[in-house]
Amino acid sequence: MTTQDPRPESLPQRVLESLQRDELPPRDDRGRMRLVMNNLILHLHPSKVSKRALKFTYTWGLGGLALLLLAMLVATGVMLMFVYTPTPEQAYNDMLALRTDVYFGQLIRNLHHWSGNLLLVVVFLHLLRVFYTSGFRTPREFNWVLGISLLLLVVAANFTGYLLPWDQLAYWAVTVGSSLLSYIPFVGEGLSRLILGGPEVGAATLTNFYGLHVAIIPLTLMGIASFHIWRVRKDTLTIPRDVDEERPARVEKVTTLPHLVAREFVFALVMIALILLWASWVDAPLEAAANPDHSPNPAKAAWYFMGLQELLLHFHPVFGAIVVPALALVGLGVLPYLRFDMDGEGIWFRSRKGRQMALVGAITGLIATPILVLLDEYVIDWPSLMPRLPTIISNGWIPLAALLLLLIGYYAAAKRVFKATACETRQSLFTLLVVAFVVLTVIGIAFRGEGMALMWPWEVLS
Amino acid sequence: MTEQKRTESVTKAVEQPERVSRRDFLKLAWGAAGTLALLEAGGVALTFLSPRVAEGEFGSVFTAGAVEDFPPGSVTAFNNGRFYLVRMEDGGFLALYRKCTHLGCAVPWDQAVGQFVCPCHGSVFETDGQVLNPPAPRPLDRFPVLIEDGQVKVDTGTVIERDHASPDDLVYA
Amino acid sequence: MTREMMWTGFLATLLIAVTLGTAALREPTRQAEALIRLREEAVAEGTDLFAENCAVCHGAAGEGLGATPALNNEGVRAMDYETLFRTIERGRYNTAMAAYGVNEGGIFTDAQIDSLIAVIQFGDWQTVSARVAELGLTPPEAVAVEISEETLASVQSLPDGEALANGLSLYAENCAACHGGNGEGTALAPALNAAELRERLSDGDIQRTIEQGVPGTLMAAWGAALDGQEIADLTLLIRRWDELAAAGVEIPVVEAPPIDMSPEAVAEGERLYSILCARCHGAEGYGTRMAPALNSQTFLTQTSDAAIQQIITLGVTGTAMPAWGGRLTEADIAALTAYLRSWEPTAPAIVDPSTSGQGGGLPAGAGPPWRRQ
Repeated sequence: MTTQDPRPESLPQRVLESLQRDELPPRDDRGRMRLVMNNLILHLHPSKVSKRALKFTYTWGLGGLALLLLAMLVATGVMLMFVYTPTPEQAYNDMLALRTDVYFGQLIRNLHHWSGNLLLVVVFLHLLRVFYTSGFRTPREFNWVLGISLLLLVVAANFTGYLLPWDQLAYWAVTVGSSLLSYIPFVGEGLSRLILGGPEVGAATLTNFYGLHVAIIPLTLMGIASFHIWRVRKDTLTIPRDVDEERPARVEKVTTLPHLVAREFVFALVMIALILLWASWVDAPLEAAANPDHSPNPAKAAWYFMGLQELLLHFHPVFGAIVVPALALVGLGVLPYLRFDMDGEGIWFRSRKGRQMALVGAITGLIATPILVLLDEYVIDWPSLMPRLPTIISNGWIPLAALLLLLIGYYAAAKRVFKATACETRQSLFTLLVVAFVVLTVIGIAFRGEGMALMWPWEVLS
Repeated sequence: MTEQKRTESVTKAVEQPERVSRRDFLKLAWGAAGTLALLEAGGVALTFLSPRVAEGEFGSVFTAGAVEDFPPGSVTAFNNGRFYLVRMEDGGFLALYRKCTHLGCAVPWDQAVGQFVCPCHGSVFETDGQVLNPPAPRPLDRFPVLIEDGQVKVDTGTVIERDHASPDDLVYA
Repeated sequence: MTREMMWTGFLATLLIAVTLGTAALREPTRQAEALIRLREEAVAEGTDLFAENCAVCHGAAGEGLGATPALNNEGVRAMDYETLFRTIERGRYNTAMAAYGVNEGGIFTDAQIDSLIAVIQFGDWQTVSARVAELGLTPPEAVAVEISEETLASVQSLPDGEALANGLSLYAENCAACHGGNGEGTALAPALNAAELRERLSDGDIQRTIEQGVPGTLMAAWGAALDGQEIADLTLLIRRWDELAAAGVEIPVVEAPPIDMSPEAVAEGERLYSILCARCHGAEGYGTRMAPALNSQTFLTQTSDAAIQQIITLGVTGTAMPAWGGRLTEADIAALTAYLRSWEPTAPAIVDPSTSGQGGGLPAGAGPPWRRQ
């Protein structure tokens, strides 16, 4: 007695049946949940999500946008790999060929370039969003740390990609950027040589950066990003609420399919359309071919490093390039492990007071940073005030100590004046530092011209 | 009979608890071997990736020319060697690495003002490499200069950093 | 999915389709425009490089100066890319054209040589000339030696007078400085107005000598500057010189005046030096990779004023030193000599001025790994 083959009669039907495990389209909510669980891509989502967290203005879709941009970068990047050779003799000519010979070469390059730059902005905003909605506290601390490592990987991807066109902009920005590395004590020189493949930017650097940019960093990014999204699924999003609202007793949930997936789909389409529109009209820059004997004036690093480069103009290089960024990274990494009160989760800026203090922090940063820059540029010359001390102290430790004192003073004053909690004050301080960094970046990009002298933006451009 | 043997072995183990059992020792040895293997793998990867020495002229000893070719008070650029050969008024030779000690730009020699002026961020250096204007944190690095059989040779494989330029850096024919 | 979401999604997709479609339609024009724009950028960069490095010998509008050939003609424009590239990169043997490529010890990267070729093949020489003038690098005008009208008239009255007169003008302009005003020869060059020369050499020999020069001597290859007719006229002159002598034709040779060492002359010499000589001989005369030091005791004490003037006038065959005699007046050359002489009191002592090899060529580590010892 043979067992019956349960499959339907016709071959096409059998093929179709083998592809889908569930009934398509799903008939009810249970069906929809089952589909999300069983699908390879969809199961990075939970089967149900809280209804409130669907609100667009809560997350602004920044995390999802980052993922979309990654996918676009991979797609355009793979296409570019077909026409690009990472050697100094060929690289620049390939960039020219993209403009003149390759069909849609300029479009694909533009898409890749602008997606890459937008990604940096988006992940930065995503970090701010998670911070201000308290989405990094228990049980989400490790996910925050994963996010910081993703941020560093995105910066590394941008930096390695920056060299590949091998024009003057690329060559000298990477020379300046990698010289920052050599300031790390003990391992700096060796690390710089390892990454550059030699004592200076050359053919070996191009090969190294290419390998990093197309293989190592994307693979690591995709691995850690999957882990990151997985943790989001397991830990769930924080539930948004209004500033005076109490935590809801019951969290209402809806099925991921169709509610979340539909929103993601439409958002993705809109963003693709907008980026495509931008990329088809605004060209990525390309300067003259790289000339190692001729440094441009001024030589600026990539725009996302200009805050750092501006910092370098005021501090001893070890401090500007290593100590201050290291402090910032350590601060960010340790942040979720500090003691918090669990109020304010899901509320933007935690409370009304939090909002006021954040505003105060922002305004303080906005005003104090240019003033300090001008003071250091024209009025105070630390080394000449203490000529017998080595510059690492007179232009490093001492100004840093002065700055830290100012920040501690601000913290104490803000806490007292507003009678605020520690968390709210920390938030205000964070806002101050973020705004200060943004201001430094803007100064570095727009207000520094020939010889890195301070001047008005229109003078810089002329 | 087996019952007795078992009891004996258990008694033995209980009576001498400080002796490491074979199992524990094996675990320890395995861990040590594993650590060694991992370190070795790391070493293999790093040495594989480490930069290959001396791409051509730069990184090797460079013959600049005869001593008489360089008049006192002259500054001669050697692009392939990435250095300037400076001959001071008193005849002393100095080979300065053209890489700016601030952030690595190639520093050009400005004949008109008699100084090295870096276009990137405005560092200015004296003919002996001494910093005249920040943001450079130290004088220009130098390469050792040898004078053999009347020929000036510069070893671009050895970079010498200094806190201050000093007359001891000069080499005389 | 709500109605708003559906409309948004639909419009976004429509926008993507329209953008891609528009991009596809624009693509051929975009590529063509990009090509033109890149070419224009290359020509602009090449123009600046030409003005700074090449105009001094090839002329502000590429018209050629003295024995240096013109570049602004169809012949050069139609040359293939490889020949042009190699000529600029490696120079031309036995001429004043030096090697300019970085790999040959020069100063131009491959991209810069490409931009110079862009000027030759796609540039407008009027624009180039204007840019040269704008940068203040226009080389001085060539000055021809005048022959009086009566002399020319008396030559023209001879049989084949036109050709002879032409040959005589050319001779005065290009040859008299070395071979003497009457072809009687000087310490530098043999007599051309000699019976035994007329017997020994055929017309073909004379023509070939003028055209190709004599390697290893100061006789340059004038075929680069003179066309076939001009060389034929010169050959005719040399063949028939005795007739001119019989007719009493004589070209006065202008004597080199004693050097005027007044401050004005020295200043003029300094001005000329900075335009014409500094690029190769160094701003202070200390030499560069292209040319030896002049500001040295050895050179200045061993070389007399007259010798300096002669070297400037005639150039040095087989090196990059061009013959300036065709372009500078005696006054100019005298001023330059005065300027050089003004260095003598303070010139450092150098035993043997010679160029120092400063790099170029393949890196020492090039080639397959098994070559290394």
